[in-house]
Amino acid sequence: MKKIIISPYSNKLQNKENPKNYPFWNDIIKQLKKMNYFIIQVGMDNEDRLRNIDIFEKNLDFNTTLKELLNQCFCWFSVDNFFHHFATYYNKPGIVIFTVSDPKLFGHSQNINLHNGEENFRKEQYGLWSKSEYNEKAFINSKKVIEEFCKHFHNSNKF
Amino acid sequence: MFNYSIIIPTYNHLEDCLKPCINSILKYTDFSNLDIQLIIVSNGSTDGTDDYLDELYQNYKSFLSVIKIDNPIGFPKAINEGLKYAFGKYVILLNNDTELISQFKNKWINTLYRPFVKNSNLGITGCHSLTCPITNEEFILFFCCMIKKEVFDQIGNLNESFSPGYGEDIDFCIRAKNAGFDILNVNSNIHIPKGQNYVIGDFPLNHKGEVTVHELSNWEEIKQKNNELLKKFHGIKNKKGISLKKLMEEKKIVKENTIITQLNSKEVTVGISTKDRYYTTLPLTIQSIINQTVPPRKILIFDDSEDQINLEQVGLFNNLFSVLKSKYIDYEVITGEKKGQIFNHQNCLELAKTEYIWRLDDDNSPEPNVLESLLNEIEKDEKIGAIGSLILDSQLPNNTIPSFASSKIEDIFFGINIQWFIHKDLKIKEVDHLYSSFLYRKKAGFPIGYCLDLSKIGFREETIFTYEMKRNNWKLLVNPNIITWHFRESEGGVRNLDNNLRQKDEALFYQKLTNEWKITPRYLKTFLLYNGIGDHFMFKMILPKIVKKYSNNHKLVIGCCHPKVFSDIEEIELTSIDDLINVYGNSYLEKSCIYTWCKKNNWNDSLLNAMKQFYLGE
Repeated sequence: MKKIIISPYSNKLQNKENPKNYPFWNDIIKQLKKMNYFIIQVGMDNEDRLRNIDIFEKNLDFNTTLKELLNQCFCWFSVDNFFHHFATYYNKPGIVIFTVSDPKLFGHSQNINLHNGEENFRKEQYGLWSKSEYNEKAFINSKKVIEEFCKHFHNSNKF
Repeated sequence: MFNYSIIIPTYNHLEDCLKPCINSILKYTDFSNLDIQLIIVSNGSTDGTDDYLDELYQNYKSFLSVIKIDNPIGFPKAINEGLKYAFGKYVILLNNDTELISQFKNKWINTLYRPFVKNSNLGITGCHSLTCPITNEEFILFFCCMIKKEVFDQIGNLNESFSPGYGEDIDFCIRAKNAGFDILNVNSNIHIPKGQNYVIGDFPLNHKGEVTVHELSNWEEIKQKNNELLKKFHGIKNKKGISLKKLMEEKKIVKENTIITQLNSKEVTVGISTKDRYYTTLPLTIQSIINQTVPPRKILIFDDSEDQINLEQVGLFNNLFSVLKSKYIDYEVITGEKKGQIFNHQNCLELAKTEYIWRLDDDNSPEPNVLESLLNEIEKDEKIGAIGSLILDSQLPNNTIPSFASSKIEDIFFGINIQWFIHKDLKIKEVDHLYSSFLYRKKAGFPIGYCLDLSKIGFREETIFTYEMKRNNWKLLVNPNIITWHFRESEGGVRNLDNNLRQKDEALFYQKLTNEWKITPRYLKTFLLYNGIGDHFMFKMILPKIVKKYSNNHKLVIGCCHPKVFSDIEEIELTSIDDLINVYGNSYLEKSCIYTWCKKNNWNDSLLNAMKQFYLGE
């Protein structure tokens, strides 16, 4: 089974949901499972486990175990957190789900950077996250994410 | 092919000088291999010298050249005439008032030559050297020396401006050194025999000295003129225009050519150079000396103040001086020459009659145990030349030493001295140079002297002074257990005089560092990453370019929140964010924030490109 890594959360903020955290992971995982992928969630101790994943790997050392996992995986999904920079450093392409951040500024061209329209980007791209509010409607829907995954990875010989 | 060409200029003194000189050369030199050439330049002799030389030539024409010049032309010109006929790879200059003494054949030439084999940079060897008081440069006396022919090829012949003679050897040695050649005195066990005015050592040659040019009626004028030339060509490097002869009289020459003065006491003289700090920090400095658990023998205060006053008549100082007297600490207030603190410290170095000198800035206040601790440590090891305490700024937080602080001379441009910080471990550390105030052995400092080429603000003067000690194989130490407080005082002092002078001094220091000491300086490049792991990885993407750009002559230091990101990069040193902020202040956080930079510059491209521009200027 081909492995897929999901890094679903950005840093926890005090008393509020991080505006970068994608709300439709379960839908995506359901679709990926249908396509027979082995799903590995990576994250920290204090993060919630997603439903229907195969393994939740916590606190992996990014110089060793996380790097090895990245090398083994077919593709990865993340929000705009550290993971897409980490994977880009090791030249491993994947899918990044942006919301209020502009991928032109914070993304990398080797990845598939998805968002639900520039109108959702926050005005102060370099401002503090504590000043940005969570908005579920600002995220791209899971169907489009899966379509992009199929186009660029599942049905593609490119990667 | 001749290997050696001996050139002897001669003017009269046939019987008392030239004949004994030539006879001794013929006796103790092997000319049979035809690799040694003898050139005698007779100029203006009227005592039968030329007839003697004619006869000599008939007997030794295979290796002897005789040049006759009608008028006396002086030493430099006569040597230069001889050089026209010198074909050896090495040229030996010899005065006619020298005489070789009993030895195996060629020992004198071999002794002069042998060091050239070991040191390819060597340009000149000789059997006597001195430090010129005008230029403060060591030079070989040319009454007997060997000069590699290459040196003449590179820097030219003797400077004939010094005719009839005096100072041409100083000038030539300085020019040779400036061109990268080393000079070396091969003589050992040099001393002045009791009651005599000449120097002898293990080198098998006697030098009568003080004949020929010394007999000229205007000899003093010639010396004066040539001293002026030395000043003109090589800068005024000494303070009082002491004549060489006087220097010889004052100094005692001992083993390994170390020149020292007589010491009367094993105790300590404190040297303070002060300027316009009568009513600010100077009294505090004196008070702190009074409070030392081990008092010094004497305090020398060199006063460079603009409007000097008689300190004895000022109540505050009168009180302090009274306490000094009651504690049997001598003191002397000396009117400075207003040439800056380097001259004052040089004067202190010369005037002090104690084994140790405690150089103390007039805005420094050592804690009571400082002198005792410094003395305890320096007396443990004869090889310790100088030792300093911590020098902590009274108005700044006393931070712990950052991991990247260095006491190596090549790291001087880091601008971070280990004496400025509290040390995590209290071990005494060996360093390459010392800062501000320190205790030193007079015999370690005296042969070097202060660098009088610097401007009156004397930027880097203590670095040069102490590193020269280190170069002379003295150990330099910092004792982090003891503290001297540096009081911030904007009025007075010497360092705030002129930024242009500071830049001039820095340029001179750089020349010394790179050309004379052959040190390749390193610079410090720090990066502060006060952001997330993702930003760290993005920075890591451009790190190879940073390393390529800077690692050649920089130490690269990263202070960051997630050091593990960079743990696999060998070319960088990791430090804490606190260490960087301790050194550069809180504002460094904002200055080094990539997001602040992006915001300020309305950056509308990728963050990766922003980093390339911010960190690499791309």
